[in-house]
Amino acid sequence: MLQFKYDKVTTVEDGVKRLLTVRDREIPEFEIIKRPEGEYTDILVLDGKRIPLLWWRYEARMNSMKNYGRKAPLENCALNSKSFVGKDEPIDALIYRELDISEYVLVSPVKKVTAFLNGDACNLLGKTESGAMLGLELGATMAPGTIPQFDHRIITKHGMATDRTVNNVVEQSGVYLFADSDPRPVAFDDGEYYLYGLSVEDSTRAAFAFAVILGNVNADDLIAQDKHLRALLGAVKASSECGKSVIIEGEGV
Amino acid sequence: MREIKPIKIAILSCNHGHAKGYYKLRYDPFYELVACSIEPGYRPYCGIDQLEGIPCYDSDEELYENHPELEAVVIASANRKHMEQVREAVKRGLHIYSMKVPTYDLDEYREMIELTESKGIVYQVELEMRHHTEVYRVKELIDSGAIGEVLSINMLNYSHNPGWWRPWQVSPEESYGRRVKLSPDSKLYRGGALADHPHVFDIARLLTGSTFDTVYAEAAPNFRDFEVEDLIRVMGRMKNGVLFSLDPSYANNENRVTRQSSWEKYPRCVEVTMNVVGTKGTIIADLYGRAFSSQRDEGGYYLSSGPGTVGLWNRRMQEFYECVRYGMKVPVGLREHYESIATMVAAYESVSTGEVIKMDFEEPVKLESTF
Repeated sequence: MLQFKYDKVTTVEDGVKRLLTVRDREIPEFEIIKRPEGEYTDILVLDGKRIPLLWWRYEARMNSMKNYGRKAPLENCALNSKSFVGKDEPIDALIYRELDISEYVLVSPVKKVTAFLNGDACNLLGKTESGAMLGLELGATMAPGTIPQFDHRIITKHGMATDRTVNNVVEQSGVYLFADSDPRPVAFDDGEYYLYGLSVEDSTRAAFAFAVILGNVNADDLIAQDKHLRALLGAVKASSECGKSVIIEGEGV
Repeated sequence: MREIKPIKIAILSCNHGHAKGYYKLRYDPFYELVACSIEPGYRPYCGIDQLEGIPCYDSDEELYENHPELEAVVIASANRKHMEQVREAVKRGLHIYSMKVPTYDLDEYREMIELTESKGIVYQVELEMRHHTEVYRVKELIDSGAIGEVLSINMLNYSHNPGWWRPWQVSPEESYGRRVKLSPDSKLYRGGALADHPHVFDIARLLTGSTFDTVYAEAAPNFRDFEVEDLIRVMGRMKNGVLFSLDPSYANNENRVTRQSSWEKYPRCVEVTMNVVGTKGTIIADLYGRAFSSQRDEGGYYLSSGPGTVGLWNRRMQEFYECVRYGMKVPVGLREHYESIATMVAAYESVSTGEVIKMDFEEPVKLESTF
């Protein structure tokens, strides 16, 4: 009888190694740097390349949202997103992430942004090349370590999809402990069997890095998208400063 | 203890979505529901079986001829008709309880103010969302400094589109008052989702204690075939620097029925949620509070709704009574509501021009909390 027993995973890198091991793959030399200075997301160093990890694309519900958006891209009307995170994530990184999600789900590049920034809060209206609207409400003022509170809803001509069940005010956790010593529950978020021990977010980071290492996600595409997202971020800031809409042409603004 | 002196009241037109909510005035000891008029063509759709024993006329003229004893009216008609009904009611010295949109024609709006104030008419606007206690909890949290300085206040008010069973709501003329294209190259016209949802504008002002400074709006492609907008979003800054984002879309689908029965569709027919970002935290709220969910046999639909407290009364009409009988100041009258309506018109202008619109209110009115 087969016996499986895994130790708890404690780092994203160990998670990637675990996945490679389970799939009988060679473990290459790699490093994952958690959002280094000057970057807007974590960086995978592999084969001499610095590859931005757009790991949120592999979050289970986000993947479902993407699939929904790709059913009939020209029928996508709008993506409305709310995302609130702890102060440990800069607002710029959050804008970067949500713009990527918008393009990923709506299957079309953002061509116009009208943004309003106020400290660590940002509201943004945009249009994609396909004519869909994106609306973002973002904030990065919660306590460091708070479980991100997000809500994405795509509205299409054939229906809607959301990663936050309607009526749920805050992000769900998988397990809640109601102990007899504290009236407030303790929530647990475990995302993946092989990565037990990592949070949902870190499990997703590991799964995404694993996919890049295997070549299932093209590293050069990620590098190009990073460049595009930086241009979009520049457009967001320019729009907020000048109080007008900014049109994005090509990679530039 | 004060003696209850019921106000003799009539409901005009009865084809507004909230009209049915006032049929219960017949059971309210503070009111005597004398009569109703029914808008031509809407008699089968107004649920007048709930008005058994109450005279229902085919026109306001007939109603007024038969009931000179009236003291007040509920104007429950299409937006286009409000101005003429206000003029007639003022001429007769009747106090007015109005649906949430007095008019989108700002000249007409100012005429309504002039007419009612010069004649001492009580004019109250129905903005029922103000009575959701979640609004006041959020306000109390903000005022207590629980999230530090407010950076942004954001709300959505998603609903079904009622145009299938209430066609005036998808008619640009009936809803917006005239036929105006959303933008020069658009096939859509003003008068859809935005025109139906002023509450979020009111609550943004109420909670920030400020008014709108700049307004920008975008409309998305429709997912229904009506000629007014389904999806629209409004953003900008309040005068005090706080950002706002308001999404008053017809974002939730509905069963396309011609009578208002079993129209609700999963996941929810109306949603109102809010988030407030402060320098020291964030508030996330569902202004409809806790929801009730049920599964329906027909088609297996799953429905969720936010039921109100059992056994209580229409709080707006209690306020209206106090204003009419005892001269209390209305919580939201025409002047209080003007900046919200003017900002909604500006949002339409922004969609049309693609510009951020600067608002300039000569005498901003600070909204007062009723708590």
